[in-house]
Amino acid sequence: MNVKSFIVSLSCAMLVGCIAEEAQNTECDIVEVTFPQGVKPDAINYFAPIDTTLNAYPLKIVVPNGWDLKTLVIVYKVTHGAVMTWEGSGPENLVDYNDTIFATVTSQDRNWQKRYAIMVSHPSKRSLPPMLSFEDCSIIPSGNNLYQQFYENVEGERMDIWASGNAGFAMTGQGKTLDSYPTYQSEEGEGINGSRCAVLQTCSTGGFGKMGKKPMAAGNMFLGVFDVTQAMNDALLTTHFGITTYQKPKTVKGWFKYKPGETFFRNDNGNLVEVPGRVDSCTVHCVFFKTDDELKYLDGHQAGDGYVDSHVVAHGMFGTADTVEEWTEFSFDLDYESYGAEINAIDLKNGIYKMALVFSSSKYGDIYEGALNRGVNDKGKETFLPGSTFMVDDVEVIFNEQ
Amino acid sequence: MKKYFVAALLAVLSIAAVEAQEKSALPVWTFDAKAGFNFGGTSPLPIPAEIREIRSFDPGMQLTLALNATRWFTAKWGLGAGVKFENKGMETDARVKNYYMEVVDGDAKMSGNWTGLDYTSCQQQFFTVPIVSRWRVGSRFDFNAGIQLSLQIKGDFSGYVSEGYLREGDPTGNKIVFAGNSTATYSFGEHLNKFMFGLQGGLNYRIWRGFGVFGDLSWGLRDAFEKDFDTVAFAMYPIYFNLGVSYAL
Repeated sequence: MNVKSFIVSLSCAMLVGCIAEEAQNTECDIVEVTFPQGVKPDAINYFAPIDTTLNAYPLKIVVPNGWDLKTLVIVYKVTHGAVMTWEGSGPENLVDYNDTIFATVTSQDRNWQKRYAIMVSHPSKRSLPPMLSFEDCSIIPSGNNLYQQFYENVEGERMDIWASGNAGFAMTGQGKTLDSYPTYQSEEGEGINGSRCAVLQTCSTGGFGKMGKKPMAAGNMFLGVFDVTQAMNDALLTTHFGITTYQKPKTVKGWFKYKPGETFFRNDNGNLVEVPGRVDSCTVHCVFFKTDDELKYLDGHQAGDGYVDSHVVAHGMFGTADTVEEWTEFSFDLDYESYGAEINAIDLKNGIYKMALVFSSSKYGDIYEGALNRGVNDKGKETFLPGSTFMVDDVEVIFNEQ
Repeated sequence: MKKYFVAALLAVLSIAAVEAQEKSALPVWTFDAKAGFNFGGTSPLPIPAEIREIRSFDPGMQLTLALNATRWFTAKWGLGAGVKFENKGMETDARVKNYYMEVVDGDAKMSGNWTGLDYTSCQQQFFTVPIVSRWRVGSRFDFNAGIQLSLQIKGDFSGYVSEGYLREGDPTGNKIVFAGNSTATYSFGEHLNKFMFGLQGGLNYRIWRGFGVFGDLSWGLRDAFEKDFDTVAFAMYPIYFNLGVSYAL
C-alpha cells in the first residue's frame, strides 16, 4: 500500500465514522397499488400533477371491464414509514366506485402530507365526443409557473383524455407564460370560426434541456397520459399513448395551420446543430391497437419505430412540410390491411382495444430534431424562439359502425 | 467566527511578547522553504444526516510551496510569517438522501430534494500568509501554531448527480428519475469566497542538516461559500493536512 492509498483509505474511514444517523423519510406517496385477486389494471400514473379543482393528487385506477368493483380488493403501499388515513368511511363502505374517495398520506417524519383523490373505475364507456374542439383546458401549477392541459367537455362532464409534455417542459424553467410552453390554447378568435384552438410549437429547452441532452421540445398533444417521472431519463417512456375505444376508428379529420420554423436543428449530445436547407414538418398519427396483460399503452419507442409493434392493428397519418396560413382541412383513413389483424368483436366490446391520436409540430421531435427561430430576448441576448408552429382545431374521429 | 480569529491572533502575539524578553545567542532571523501536498477536504461539519455514505474520496495531488521567515526572540520562541502557494481540493462520490439542491441556468432554476448519488469536485488555488508562533523542542523538533489568511487565485466547485431522483421543490413535488447515463450537473465556483481565514498548527522534524519533514493542519473558519449563496444548504469548511519536506535556508 503506497502512501496515497493509505491516506485515501484513512480519510475514507474517518469520514465513514462521521456519518450521522439516518433521518426519517419526508416523502408521502402512494408508491404502489396491488390487487390480490389478480386484476391487471391500466398503467397507473402515481405521480400525476395536483388537480387544483379537487385540491388533491389524482390517482386513477382503471380496472378491466368484467371485474366487479364492489368486491375488488386493493392494497395500497405507501412510502416506508408513512401513514395513510381515509377521509370519511374510506373504501370499505363504498358502493359506487365511480365516486372519488380521498385519503391523506403523512410522511414518516410527520412534516409532509399529500392528499389523494382516488378514482377506481372501469374504462370510460363514453365514446369520444363527436368533435374535439380544444375549447377547454385546466391550468396546472408547476413551481412558480403555470401550464395548460386540454380536456373535453361532454354535456357538462369533463373527460381528461388529452396529455402533453408540458409537465416535462415546466422543469426546464423556460415556460414563463402559458404561451411559451410547447402546447397551449390560443386566444379566442384564433381558432376556426372564431373559437379557440390548440397551438403546438417547437421550443428550445434552454440550459437544463441541454444538460439532459434534450435540447428541444416539439409541441405535442395526444390521447393518453404523460408520466413526468421519466422526463430526465428515457423521455420516450413519458408518453403513454392510447385511450380505450369500443369502436373501430376509420377516418380522422380536422383543421390545421402550419408554419415550419426558420432554422432546422439536429441534436448532438444536447447541443443544437444547424442543418441548412432542411425543412421541418408536422404530423398527426392515429393508431389502433390491442392491449393485453403486459402492454396497456404504446410509448415513444413504438412511435419512433413508426408504430411497428405486434399489438398495432391499424395506423394512419397526415403530415406536411408546407407553410399553410389559412385554416385547411386534413383527412386520412386508417390502414387495417397492411397489418392484417383480425378484430375480435368481443374484445372490442370489452374495452381491450385502444386508440391513440398523436399531434406533433416536429416530425422528429422524439429525437429532438426540429426547427426553431433565432431572436433576441428581452435583455437583448441572442436566444432561440419557438419555431415550427402547428395549430389544430375541430378534430373528428369517424368510427365504423360495429 | 471573528471572535476565534481575534483570539488566535492575540494568543500568538502575547506568546511572542513574553518570550521576547529571554536572551539568545542563536541567529535572530531564520528562513525556510517547504514543499508538500495538501490532503483533506472541504466539508460540512458535522457531516449532515443527508449524506448516507461516502463511496469514494480522492484528495488528489494538491501541491504546496512555501517560504517562511522567523524572528526568534529567545532560543526557543519565535514569531514566523510566510507566503505559501497552495492547492486545496478533493473529489468525493457520496450517496445522499433528501439532499436539497438547486441547479441554476440563467434565470431558470430547478430545485428540490435529491436522493441518489452526488459526485463533487472541489479545486482551489490560494496565496496564503501563515502567521505563527514557533516553539523549538530539543534540537530537531519545532512546533507552530497560529493563523492563516488566504486569497483565492482560482476556484472550481462542480459536480453532478446521477442514479437517483429529484423531488421537485419539496418532498411532495414531481418525482424526476435519473437512471443510466442521465445526470444533472452543477458548477458553483463563482460563489466561492475569495478571502479565507483559519487556524494552523503543526510540527517540523529536522532529519539531517537543514533538511526535514513537516506536517501542518489547517482548519478553515470561514464558510467556503459566499454568505448569500444558499444553494449548498450547509456551511462547508476547508480542513487540510499539509505534509512535505522542509529545508532551512
